[in-house]
Amino acid sequence: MTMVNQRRSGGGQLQRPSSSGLADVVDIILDKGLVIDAYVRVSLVGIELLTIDARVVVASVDTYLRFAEATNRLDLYEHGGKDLTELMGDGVHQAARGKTSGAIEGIKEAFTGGGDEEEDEERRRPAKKAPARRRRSQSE
Amino acid sequence: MTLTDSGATMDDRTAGPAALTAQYVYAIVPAGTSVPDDLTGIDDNGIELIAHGPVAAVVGKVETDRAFGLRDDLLAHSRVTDALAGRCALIPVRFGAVVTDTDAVVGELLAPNVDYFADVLDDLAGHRQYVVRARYDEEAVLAEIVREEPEIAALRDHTRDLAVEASWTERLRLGELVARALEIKRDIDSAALLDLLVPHCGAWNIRAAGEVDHLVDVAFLVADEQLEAFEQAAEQAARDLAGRGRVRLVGPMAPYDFVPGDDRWVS
Repeated sequence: MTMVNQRRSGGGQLQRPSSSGLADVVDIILDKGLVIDAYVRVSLVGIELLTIDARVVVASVDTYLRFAEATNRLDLYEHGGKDLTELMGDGVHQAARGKTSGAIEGIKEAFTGGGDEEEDEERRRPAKKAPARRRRSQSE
Repeated sequence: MTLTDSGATMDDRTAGPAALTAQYVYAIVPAGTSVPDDLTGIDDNGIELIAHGPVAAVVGKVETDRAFGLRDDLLAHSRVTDALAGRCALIPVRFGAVVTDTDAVVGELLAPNVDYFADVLDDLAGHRQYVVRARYDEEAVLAEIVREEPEIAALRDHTRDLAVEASWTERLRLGELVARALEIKRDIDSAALLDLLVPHCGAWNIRAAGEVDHLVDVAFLVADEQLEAFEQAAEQAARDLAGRGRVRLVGPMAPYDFVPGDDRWVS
């Protein structure tokens, strides 16, 4: 279970992690895979926290101010600045597309909610996933 | 539930005092798949196959009266699906699926869907999923944007040394312009990456974006015979982005992006 043991193939630029670290695992398997109908499933304590999309969407005004600050802090002559990701927060992509309203409420409810609200949260997910452009070249 | 397969007889074990255990479902695989002896799942419990016709559910016992969703649970789920994906076609089940017992696995999960699962497994045979994750070097790309857009450079100069309150409107405008410029860059750079990689895969799926340095995350379903060309294309994409960002290739892994279930939530 050791993570991020990077190797580079053939001396090139491409990074090939030798095993999936937790960050990759979270991104890759949460929200993905075959969904078993709720009526077949057994409820698990704590699972609702993991159904929350880790990508918190922030309101656009807030996002824009963070962008501005990051740009202002940028030192164009000496590359000294750091932690831009932390500074600017998550959800920038969605915010930039203007699909922000309602997401924060959804997440808050999910954190406080019980069994029924877990379902509500799942129903709400399509709105948050909308920016994902999905195309498949493979025919059924 | 009426049983249609003898696979459910092992449930006798869970009767009585062990009522708080249930079957955690990791994946659907072709019946007859061999599970590595040393493969363990959640709580280090062993992995079993419950077969029904041509398909089988990969399950393991789990206690249902404990908090679930710990780091180890997630890694165990991933470990099982990835280990099996290296051996056979596999439909990974979404994390956290627990069914009461083997009766329910057969009667409610496998039996009603057996033809469907068999079709999906046929389609996935000989393919593996890889995820390409491209990230910007934030400073490099923000510096590009300031250089390329005179209005952004001017607003930056103007607001830099002013208090936030004294330059609220200008800052909002600056941030909006930077966000838009980043969006355009993402579209251009991700299109270039896709042009390189898409010819070498069977299917692909762009994932929702996250952090500011995010360029693009794409899952690819790659046939075994395409792999070499696909890896070379990924290497080319990384070279093209050198100095402005980096590209990671994660996998092979279970085909999480290419199974039924996700579509239900995507409008």
